[in-house]
Order: sequence, then C-alpha cells, then structure tokens
Amino acid sequence: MMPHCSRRYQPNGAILLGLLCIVLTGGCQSLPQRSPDVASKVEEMGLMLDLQPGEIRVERRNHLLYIQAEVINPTLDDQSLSYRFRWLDASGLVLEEEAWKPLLLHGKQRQFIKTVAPTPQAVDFRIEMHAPNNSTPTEWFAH
Amino acid sequence: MYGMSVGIRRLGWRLGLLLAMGVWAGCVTASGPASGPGVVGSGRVQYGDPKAVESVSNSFGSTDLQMIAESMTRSLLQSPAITGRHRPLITVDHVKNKSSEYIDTRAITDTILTQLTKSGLVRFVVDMAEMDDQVDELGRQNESGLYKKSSAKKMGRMEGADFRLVGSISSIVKRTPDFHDVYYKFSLRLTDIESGVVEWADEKEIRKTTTR
Repeated sequence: MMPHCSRRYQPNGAILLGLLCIVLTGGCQSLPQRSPDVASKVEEMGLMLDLQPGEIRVERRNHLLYIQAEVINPTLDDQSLSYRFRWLDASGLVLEEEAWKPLLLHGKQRQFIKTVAPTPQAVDFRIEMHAPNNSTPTEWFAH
Repeated sequence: MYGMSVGIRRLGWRLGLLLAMGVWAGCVTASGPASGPGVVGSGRVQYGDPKAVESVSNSFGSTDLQMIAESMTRSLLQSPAITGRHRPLITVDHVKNKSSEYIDTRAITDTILTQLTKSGLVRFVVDMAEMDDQVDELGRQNESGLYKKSSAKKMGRMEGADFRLVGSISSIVKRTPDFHDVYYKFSLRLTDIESGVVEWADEKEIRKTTTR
C-alpha cells in the first residue's frame, strides 16, 4: 500500500500552473528606467538589465567636447561591458565611430568613462553600449 | 485492411521523401556558395568588424592597439603644450618594445599620428624613418635635371619640429597551469626639442587574463 504522505506531495496540474505563474511573474520584473537625458545619448544594444548608464556630464574646453559618463553595476557580480563613442558634427553627420572598448565592472562598482572629442568639429555624441551577458532584446518587453 | 496499410506505408514514404528534400534544400540554401552581384568565392570567408573587441588570445591584439592609440591621442589633445600653441609641429621618435612578445610599435605610432593629424590641432614633420625618402625626393627634384626649376621644391626649407614623441611598451606575464595573466603598460612622452623639457606624459595600462 502506498504511504499516505507520498500521495499528498504528488504534483498536480494546479500546482505546476501556480509555479509557472510565480516564475513568469518573477521574471517580469519592472523594466530598468533611463532618464530622458541618458536615453538621448546612450544607445543600448539590447536593454541592459544588470548594468545602468548613469549621469553624463558634458563640457567644452579648448574647443573640444569633454565627456564623463557613469556606468553603475548594482549587482554583486562582476559585469562586462563594451562601449564606444560616435562623434557627430553640427549637421548631425557622423565624424568618427571609435573602436569598441571592453570595460570590467566589479560588483557594486561605479565606473566613469572619460573621453574627449577627437576634433573641434565634434559637437555631439552618442555612446553605444553592449553588455553581452546581460542584455535582452527590447522587443521582448514591447508586448 | 492490407490495402489500407500499404497506402499508409506509401504515404509515409512520400512524407519522408518530401522531408528529406526539404532538409536538402535548406542545407543547400544555408551553406551553398555565395552568389549575387560582386560576390566571388565559396562563401566560407566572412568579413568581420575591424573595430570589434578582439579576445582571441592574451597576446597583443587589435583592440589593444586601438585602445592605446585612442587613449594617448585624447590625452595629448588636452595637454597645455598642444592647446597653448597654434598647430605645433611634432616628430615621432621611436617606441621601444620592452615586452616579451613581438609588437609592431610602428603600427601604434602610425595610428596615433593619424588620429592626431585628423584632429587638425597638430602637424607632423617627417621622422627619422622617412627622412631618407624625403631627402631622395628633394634631391631628385633639384639635382636630376628632370624637373622645371619653377616647380622643383627648394632645398633647405624643411620645418623643424617643436616636439618629439617617444615611448615604450612593456609587459609582465604571469602563468600557472590554469591561469595566464598579461599586463601591458604603454608610456608616451612629448619632449620640447629646444629646451629638452618633457611637456606631457601619459600611460595606458591593459590587463588580459585567461583561465583554463
């Protein structure tokens, strides 16, 4: 005769459905929000869930644009990131696309990406960011 | 009953044949030779992004060269020695390779020279490596008798550089059976040729680690 307790813990469809609901609702965490200032300058290749682009400071010194962009790792684990700047002239034409650069952020670390425009003709910029281990296509969240 | 089972068997064969043809067609489409206007070859060669992060091995690579050149260029453009003068003249001296591997240091200085020239904030004069070609060209224009005197560029009018760039790259390698760590340090200095004063200096550090 089968013991009573083993019957009691037999998984059934309702329990599995419940677990699935928990997993799904747990997976659908609130989306990371970007301030309009950051969103207008940072182009994420897939939404970064574990890294956050922070404050961006821009200043013009000696005819050159100085940029300081903050990247935050709110997780406890090390996270990797690739980034590059795209420099635009007054007409919005691309002057230069830099080489991709790797960046390692330790857990809970804030890093500052600092650079200066390659030429006085560069008056605007975009930062492309790509975190291969923690980015998700934004289309997933569109529905 | 027998006729029905034969029919089912035949249907199965036909479905299997259709499936096989579909798979074959998919394979041909996916791995077949590249075709189309302007494409020649098997299609097995692919062009990659020359600016992508290259992490094939621990040895010095394209991303290291690009990061060093960019970092040095941007730092140099902020130097008072550059911002305080109108398009100063620079000559590239040498970059000594003190690392444990072969590195084409000329490729690094060439990229730095290109990026600085594109900034429009500095100018470069012929360096020692190109001086023989420069002298040969001037000699040919002035001494060969082949050129009109009015268009031949005159001797003794070359511009002397205000500054010279000199640098070095060194590395520290640590290796265990399951760990390989390489630390690169690239140093560059800008020296005032007249006074001998080092007006600017900067370093770029890179660490690359492989775990087995």
